[in-house]
Amino acid sequence: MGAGKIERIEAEPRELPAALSRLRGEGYSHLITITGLDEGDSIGLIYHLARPGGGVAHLHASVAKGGEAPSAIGVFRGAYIYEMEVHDMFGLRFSGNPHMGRRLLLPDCYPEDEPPLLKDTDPGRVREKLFAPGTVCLQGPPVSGLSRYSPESIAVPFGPYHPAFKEPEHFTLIVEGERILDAIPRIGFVHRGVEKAAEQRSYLRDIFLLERICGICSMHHGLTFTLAVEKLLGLEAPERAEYIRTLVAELERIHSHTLWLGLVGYWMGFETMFMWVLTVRETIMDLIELVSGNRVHKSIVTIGGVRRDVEGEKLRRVGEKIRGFEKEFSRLIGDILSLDEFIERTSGIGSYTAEDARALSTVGPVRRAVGDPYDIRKVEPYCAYGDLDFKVVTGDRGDVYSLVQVRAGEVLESIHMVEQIVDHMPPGNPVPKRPFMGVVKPGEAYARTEAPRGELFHYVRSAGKHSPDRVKVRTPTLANIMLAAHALRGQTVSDVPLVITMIDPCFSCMDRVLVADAGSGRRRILTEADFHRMRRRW
Amino acid sequence: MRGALALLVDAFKAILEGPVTRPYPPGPAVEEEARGMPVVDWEKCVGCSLCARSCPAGAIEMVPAGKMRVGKREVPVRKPRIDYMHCIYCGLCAEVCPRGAITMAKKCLLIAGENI
Amino acid sequence: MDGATAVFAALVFPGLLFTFLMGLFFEYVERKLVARVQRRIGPLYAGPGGVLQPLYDFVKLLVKEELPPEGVDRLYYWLAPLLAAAAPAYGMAFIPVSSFRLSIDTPYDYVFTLFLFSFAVFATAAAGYAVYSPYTAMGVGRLVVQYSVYEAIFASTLALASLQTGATSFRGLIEYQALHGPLALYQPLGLAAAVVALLAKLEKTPFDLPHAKQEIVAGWMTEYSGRGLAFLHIAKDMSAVWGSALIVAVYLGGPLGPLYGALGGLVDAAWFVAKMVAVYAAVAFISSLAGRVRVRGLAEKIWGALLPLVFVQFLVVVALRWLV
Repeated sequence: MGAGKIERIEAEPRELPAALSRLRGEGYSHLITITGLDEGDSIGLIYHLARPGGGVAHLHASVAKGGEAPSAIGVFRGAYIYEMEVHDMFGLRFSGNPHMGRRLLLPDCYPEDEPPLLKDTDPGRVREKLFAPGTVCLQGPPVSGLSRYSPESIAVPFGPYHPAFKEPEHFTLIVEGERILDAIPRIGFVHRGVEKAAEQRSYLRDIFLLERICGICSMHHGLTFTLAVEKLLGLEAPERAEYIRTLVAELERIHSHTLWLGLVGYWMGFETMFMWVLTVRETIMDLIELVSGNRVHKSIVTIGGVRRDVEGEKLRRVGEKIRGFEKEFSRLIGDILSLDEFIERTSGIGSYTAEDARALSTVGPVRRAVGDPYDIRKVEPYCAYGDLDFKVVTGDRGDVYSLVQVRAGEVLESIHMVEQIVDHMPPGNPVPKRPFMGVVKPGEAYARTEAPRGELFHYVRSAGKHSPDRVKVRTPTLANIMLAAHALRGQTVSDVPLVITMIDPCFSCMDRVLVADAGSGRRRILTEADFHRMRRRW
Repeated sequence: MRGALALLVDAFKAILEGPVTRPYPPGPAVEEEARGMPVVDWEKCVGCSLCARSCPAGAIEMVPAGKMRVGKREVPVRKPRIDYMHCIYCGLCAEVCPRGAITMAKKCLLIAGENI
Repeated sequence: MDGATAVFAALVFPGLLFTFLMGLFFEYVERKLVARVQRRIGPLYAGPGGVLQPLYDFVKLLVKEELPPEGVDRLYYWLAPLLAAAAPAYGMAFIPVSSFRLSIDTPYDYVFTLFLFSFAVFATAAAGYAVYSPYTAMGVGRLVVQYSVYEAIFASTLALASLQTGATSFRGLIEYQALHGPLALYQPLGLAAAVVALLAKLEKTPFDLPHAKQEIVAGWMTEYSGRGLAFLHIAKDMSAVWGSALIVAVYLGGPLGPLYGALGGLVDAAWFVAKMVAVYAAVAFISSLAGRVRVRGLAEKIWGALLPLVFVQFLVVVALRWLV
């Protein structure tokens, strides 16, 4: 579970909304994403739908290139962002979607007639067009039409470069005094062409490439891709490898959640709390280095197992250190959560309802904070989660405070999971004899895991070559970002940093695709000497 | 109120226990469990270029390295050179090398200083 | 007091030069203390223990490129940082830092302080209004709101001191305290309220709304760079000196201490400086342990918590006057 080969349900393009609402009636109420495929003379669309209790259905339809498909926003409100993505990447239009006129991920100056993910799009040609004289890539906030809000309103640009953001992203806030009337997100500042680049590399190299989608949940990207590829190969990792994967995945969750908890302090101007939480988190970073050999990009997963075993002595140290961490973490979080000022700054801020969360197809802690126990680890257990004893932490109010509670609770659950893994590590050799370098037979598979920020979805299609034919990644932040924009309305500027970031956004994960880089053939190689020269000049 | 008191206690404790950060330059730059950096031993290398083909970052370039005897003939051979500015230090090259010519050395490249 | 002494007081001690140097030292104290609370090391390399780091930063900013945005009001844009730095330096010239009377000494200097207070705020407001950008607009709006909230508290605590001592000058205040002991003994509530108001005046967390970086980048000083920014930074440090000096002079007996006047002016000045640093260290410590308040809760928080304190203190002062 958690991954599987794809069995398509076929539909005609014009029947799509009807087919979707039929599936919805059968319980498939969560739209994971829409995958676009280049099928030669037509564009394939796969709608991935999930049941809250487990089970995924894949609805497929083929639309002629440059044609139109009916929009699904009538059935799934959150579908419009995925339709915009397909529109950007494949040039397909969705009739009925009001946002077809603007870009989601690509820059506004990107040439209309060169959808990047079509197989015959030549990066060199795109480059020429992008760098042609007269192409202007500057984007301003939509200042026109402000008067429809109120005469006193002004547009405050929030980002792309802003002290509250770890990564570049833009929100145009329409404010009247301190109150926010509207928030318009614009994403796509960190496109790196990962999906396109993945089609040009071998499966083994892809694991490392996909890990670099995100610096925080890097292991989950590698893991999810590997799970999908293992399904295509009909391969099962040894039990010990599954346990080690789970161990690293849970350590990653702890470090991601603690980072967010610290940043909550930073976002509310309480920088001492940030420093204290990060001090505690250092233990986990050391553990990750101990287990995987690296602090950030763990690179421990490989096709058919893991790359490093965790032997007895190391395992014992993991168990020892995690218990110390639990003590320090619960004391610190207990102190902070009992602080009146903290409760005042977070309670009731950015509140949203369970209906909003479901309709916008949100995932992860954001969904669980309104009492919906949607957790892939429980719904479709993968790796060793089936053997572990843990409960899904849920909140009841859907605001920043209950998100803090949910994430802090999940850290404690993860600590207990790590303890169980240390105690019950099965014997055997988890490292495959040699790295996988072969060909994958044709087919398509998906995998989904519960990354720290929520459900992470990978789709892999093989055409029987050394490299995949199509890789599609849906990160949790893309599913959650619309909720942040929704929750911003009516808040005050003081709460903007907290509300935008309550979904624990990872903007770099959300934006993945840029063509100008891929295969341009020319790149400037900087040597160490160059670096030293540049450093002296500055 | 309890929270404010606990906070005060935490703050005094933090002052008394001293900083956890370390002044630059730090002690040993590489922890014992770190993956380290790949180092090529050209003596052991047979020039199969498996490392260059599997390198995720494309940081390995095969450069001409004289000639090698294969049977009776002398053939030109190319050997890997690692560009450490492109390297992602994943250690895959060391894993795939059939002759163990690439090893992960327990040291690291510091960009911000020469004499550490 | 002749003219030469007054000029010396304004420019050297305890005016401009003294305030400038103390300002740099205060910034060092704050950075080091906050770093220790946050388990960091803090400034380390410039000078012994990093004590010259603030000076280094100031000089570095002075030689940086300046990028005034298009469409600024040039006069206000350049004048505002200077005025902002001048106000605390001038204010310090009135403070009796030592037993030998070097400061400017007039019968109503204590009352004049209140004027200088608002003057300093309007200088910074001018800095914001010289530029039209969303962040400066919001920053100045918040600054003015915050000023109107804390100024009421600060003014009334100062008035309470005047009410008890019957003095309108710093000389009168110090003389009263020399006879009856530090005013903090009689007005602890007033002192507490004044310290909180000082936090707000110096724009320290939890009242750093006008330049809240996570919300409005740098607020009213977003568009400053180079010399202008250097002067704004030093103006902030000098305000810290001035603010702590006021608290010391009004509540903690100024330069009074054991052997006051017996060991010479330098020892008395050292007493004053030590008290000032203690007050500022307390302010920085409180500030490091707080998160920012929301704009909506500002007036409620400051007035709701402090006005009752000030009122109780008022009753105590009236009772004291009636009894004594």
